[in-house]
Amino acid sequence: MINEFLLLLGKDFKLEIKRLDSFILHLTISILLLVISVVGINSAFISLDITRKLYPVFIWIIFIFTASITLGKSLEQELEENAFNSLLLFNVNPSLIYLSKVFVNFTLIYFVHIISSCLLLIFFNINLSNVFALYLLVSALVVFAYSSLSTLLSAISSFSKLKGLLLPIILLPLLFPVLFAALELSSEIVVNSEFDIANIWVSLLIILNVIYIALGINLYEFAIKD
Amino acid sequence: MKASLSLLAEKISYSYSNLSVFSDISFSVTKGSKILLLGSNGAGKTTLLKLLSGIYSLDSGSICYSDNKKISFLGHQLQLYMNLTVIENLSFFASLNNVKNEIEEVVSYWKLSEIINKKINNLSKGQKQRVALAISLINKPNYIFLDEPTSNLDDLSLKLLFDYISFLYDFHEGNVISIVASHDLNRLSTWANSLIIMGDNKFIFEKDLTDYPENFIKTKYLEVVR
Repeated sequence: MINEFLLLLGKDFKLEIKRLDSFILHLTISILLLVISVVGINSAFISLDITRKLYPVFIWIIFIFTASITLGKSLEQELEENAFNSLLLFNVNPSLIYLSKVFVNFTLIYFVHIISSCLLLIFFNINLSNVFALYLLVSALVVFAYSSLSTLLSAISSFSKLKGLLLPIILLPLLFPVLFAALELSSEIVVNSEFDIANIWVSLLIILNVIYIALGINLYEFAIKD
Repeated sequence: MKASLSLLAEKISYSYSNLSVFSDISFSVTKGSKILLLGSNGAGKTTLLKLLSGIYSLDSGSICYSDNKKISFLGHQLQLYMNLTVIENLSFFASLNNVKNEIEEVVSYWKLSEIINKKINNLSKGQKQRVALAISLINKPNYIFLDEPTSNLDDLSLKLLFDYISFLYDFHEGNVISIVASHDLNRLSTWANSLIIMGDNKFIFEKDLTDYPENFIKTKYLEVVR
């Protein structure tokens, strides 16, 4: 089972590396939005304290915009000539296909998110060095919840005639609790430079991660069957 | 001694967008059957093969296989990763089936050595079809369902395909069932020992063609689809 998962993971990474368009688009739009945010803040002559308070809002808006661009991209290469059929005929466990896609999506989105976060911290002149590890942890929980939910929903919507419309409509409401938690926790880290692991928002993020990944593992088979 | 192979379809029904493709079809197939599946366009040949291979789910009825089933299905889609090279596709699917040590044999048999490092996207239609066949049969299946395999193949590739299917019958000591949907009566009528014709709510199954005259298939086919 682990071998099978590693094979799927290797194949999914190879597919992403060979076709870097979604990654480059993701990174470019992220940087573009960063520049717009920084120019806006600078031209408004906002104080450092307020900038700190605005940082979480900007970074998670940038995240949700840019991550939405990659939605469904990882599935395109599977659906181009329906390679899913081969996997299913060779009795590959659909849950492993799902987990591999979640992991690849998570890696790419998290990588871009960390680059964006670092650049925005530099542009906003905010020093997070003593709590940066906590910021990375919160970001990882948020991005993992996003990846697990969007991977499942993009498979469900890919067979619908309204796939372009359907995915954001069903994904964004389900992501609201994750984004609320992201805003609350990153505000605490950036503004107060402190973080309590027993915080209710951390528990909520962990619970949502467990729910989304459990749903994905159990429902992905039905989502990818013709 | 290996258990005898069989395929039993009982009262199977399938509809698509509220349109019944076929309903309450029953038939049984025993080991050694080489079935030519004929029918007019839209008669449901592809749907039947996808139901038999488990890619589609039945609306009602049941399909029973022997315990040791290994199903292969190749339809109009190649079921490959178009951005990966031939060798990357081969080694991925061979590793999934634990037959990585047979890759050289597969490459040599299907005459893929000259195109091994080319991306699938850059191959001709016939070459793509040959790679797809090599991969779909890589696990030495005993249930073989092929939909229009002759459409892009030259005579040499077609000979490779049917020689390989014959090898599989020998390899499994006759415990193989193959169903090939095609309009290519000239090239396939001598290969088949059974016949299914679908069309206009008709489902005809002739289990043994040995005693019929040479032009029986053509006459029967025209009778049904007229």
